[in-house]
Amino acid sequence: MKPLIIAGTETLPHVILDSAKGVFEITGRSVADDASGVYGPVLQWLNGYSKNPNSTTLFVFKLEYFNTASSKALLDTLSALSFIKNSKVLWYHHEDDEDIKEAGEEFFELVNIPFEFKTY
Amino acid sequence: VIYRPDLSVGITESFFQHMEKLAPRNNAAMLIKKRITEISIELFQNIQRHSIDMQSSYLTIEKTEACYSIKAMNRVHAKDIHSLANRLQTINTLNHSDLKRAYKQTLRQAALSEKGGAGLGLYRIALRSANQFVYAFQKIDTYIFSFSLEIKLAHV
Repeated sequence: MKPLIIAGTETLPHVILDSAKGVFEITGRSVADDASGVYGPVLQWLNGYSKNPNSTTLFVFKLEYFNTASSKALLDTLSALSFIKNSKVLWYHHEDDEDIKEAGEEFFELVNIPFEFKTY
Repeated sequence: VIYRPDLSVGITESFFQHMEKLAPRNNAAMLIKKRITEISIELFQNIQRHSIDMQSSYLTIEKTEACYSIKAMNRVHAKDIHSLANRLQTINTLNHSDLKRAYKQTLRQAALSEKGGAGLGLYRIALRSANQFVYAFQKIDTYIFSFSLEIKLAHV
């Protein structure tokens, strides 16, 4: 499947979805008011990937900031991921950033997918 | 220290650089600085979404001796102030766990119904500030009011 790579900007996250390399990650800032330009293609890619996924999918979220408009898009992404067999979320937060950690815990309560919390 | 971002250009790298200057560089202040930035982004985007005109809107982020103060001012339609005041008043009555519950419920429903994000933004702001909203409406004419909202955060 063709990889999806979206270069990050000061307000939009960097996205790499590459099933051949087993790399699935969304990193950086996600604070643009309209994030559909990023999350629309991500959802579309996940929909295609879900038809023939890898044996395991470790999806990295390593976000510095995200606004509430992105929260909804992230929840949609996590929901799509939850339908992919043997998928797992690696949720990164800075060791002093309890807010990002708490946001991950909130998502974990809302979607049916395993989370592993990691610090950097 | 006071910073007044240019609302007409959106969130830029310059915005993040100014926010960096507001708080000292140490781990204890990092979280406060992030919360100020998050709150400012939500208020910034609320103004962009809901203000009648940008010319009379502003956002200021100030570090005073007592606290950090983030003030937003914009004009709103008179027909909208009742529901906005009700929402602010309701959020002011909620404790931290009630706010978290309301935020999660709204997030879940918003994801399903594709509603706008304004309701989520106010919950997020209240959770991050841990202080009540200070707000006021001032009549401009029959149809337009000036709306001001101040968010305060304690220093580390």
